[in-house]
This record gives sequence, structure tokens and C-alpha cells, in this order.
Amino acid sequence: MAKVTDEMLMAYADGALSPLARAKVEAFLQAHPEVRGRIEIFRATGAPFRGYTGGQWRSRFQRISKTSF
Amino acid sequence: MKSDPRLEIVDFLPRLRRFSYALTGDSDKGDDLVQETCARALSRINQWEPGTRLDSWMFRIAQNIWLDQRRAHKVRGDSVDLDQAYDIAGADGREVTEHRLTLQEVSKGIAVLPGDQQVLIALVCVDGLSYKEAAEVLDIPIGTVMSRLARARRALYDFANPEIENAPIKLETRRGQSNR
Repeated sequence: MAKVTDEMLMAYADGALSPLARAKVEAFLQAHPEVRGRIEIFRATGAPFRGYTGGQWRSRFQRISKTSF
Repeated sequence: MKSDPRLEIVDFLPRLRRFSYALTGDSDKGDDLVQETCARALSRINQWEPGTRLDSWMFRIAQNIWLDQRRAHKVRGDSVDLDQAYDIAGADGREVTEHRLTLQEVSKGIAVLPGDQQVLIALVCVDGLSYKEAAEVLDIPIGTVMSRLARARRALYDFANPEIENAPIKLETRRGQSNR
């Protein structure tokens, strides 16, 4: 069976694989369920940024950007 | 269709701000980076080629300023320690738990990453560029983007989960890559 690299697992977690590559990874995961947990590394480090606006920081730029351009 | 790139810069500001805050982890330093990036972009606006992506050009400028600042002042953390610790720990296997990292954890973690990895996290995870788009911004191969980004995210994960040691999960997939 073709090897699956960390980079492919990352792309899998990010939803960035083509359907073919995705099917390959899924076949690999079926055969190697112990690798499944490793995807969590990439899910856990991608998810916190979803919907992140930087809004928790008060920006002086927000105040001036309307007028300075 | 806008003819004036300065208007495009204004539209790009929210993304630039997110990118800058992700890198600096600090409101004032983030604003400084935004401002400096805009100033440099405006002063060189004639170097931007119409028809090419203005956002990529601006990200490149911001990246260069940020990496220069890091080199000059070491403005954020010391990148060496975590990186070395990661190498020693090895990538072959570790126990992975269901632990969604918080924004605060990842933000602290970004602080100790090497600059080139910080930039990739900010481009892909924060701004949401595809690997390919990030490769175009940085003018590096997509394979480099993916390996560098995977490395950065393993480091972030380890940073937020210091209690997780090397563990029983043996990864066939990483054998043969261990001495890169």
C-alpha cells in the first residue's frame, strides 16, 4: 500500500486533497487505524483559527483607516 | 474592477491586520507591522504589476519586514529551543489526544516558532490561503510549504501538549523520513 505522509494527513485534515488522494488516505487509514489519531495534530492546529478575526485586539488602525486613505 | 491599487490596499487591511497580529501576537506590534507594510507598499506602488495579486505582494512585503525585525531585534521569543526540542523528540510516534487547542495556546505557540514557519501558519491557518497560494506568495515549491507547515503544526501541537511524550503509536509512514 502506498505510503501516507504527515503532509498528506495534514492536507486530509484541511480538506485540501483531491477526491483520488482523499480515497487513498482513507484506504490507508482503514488498514492502519493507529494512524488515525495523528490527524488530530492537524485538526487541532487548524481549527482554532476558523472565524478568527483578530478582533480581540483593539487596533488603533481601525480608528484611522477610515480617514487616512 | 478597481483601477486604483490604493483602494485595493484598503480592502486588504483586515486580512493584513489578522496576519500581522498572528505574527506579532501583540496589538501594538501588529499595528506597527500593518502601518509599516502599508507605508512601504505605497512608497513602491509603481513596483506592483497590475494584473498580479496585490494581496500576495502585500503579504510578501509584510513578511520581509517581519523577518527583518526578527533578525534585528529578536522581537518574539527564541525560535531555536522549541525547534531543537522537537528534533530530539523525533516525529516517529506520539500519543495524540482529542485536545482542540485554544486560540490563546496557538498564539503563544506561534511565538516560539522559527520565522518562516510563523509566516506559513499566518498565511494558511489564519488567512486561509491554499498551500498553492502560499507557495506563490513565498515563491517556494508547494512541497516545501507542506513540509514546513506540517512541521510548524506538529510543533504547535507539542507546545500546547507538553505532557504528551513519545508514545506507542508507531508511524510506518514516517520511517525513512527521519533523517531529513
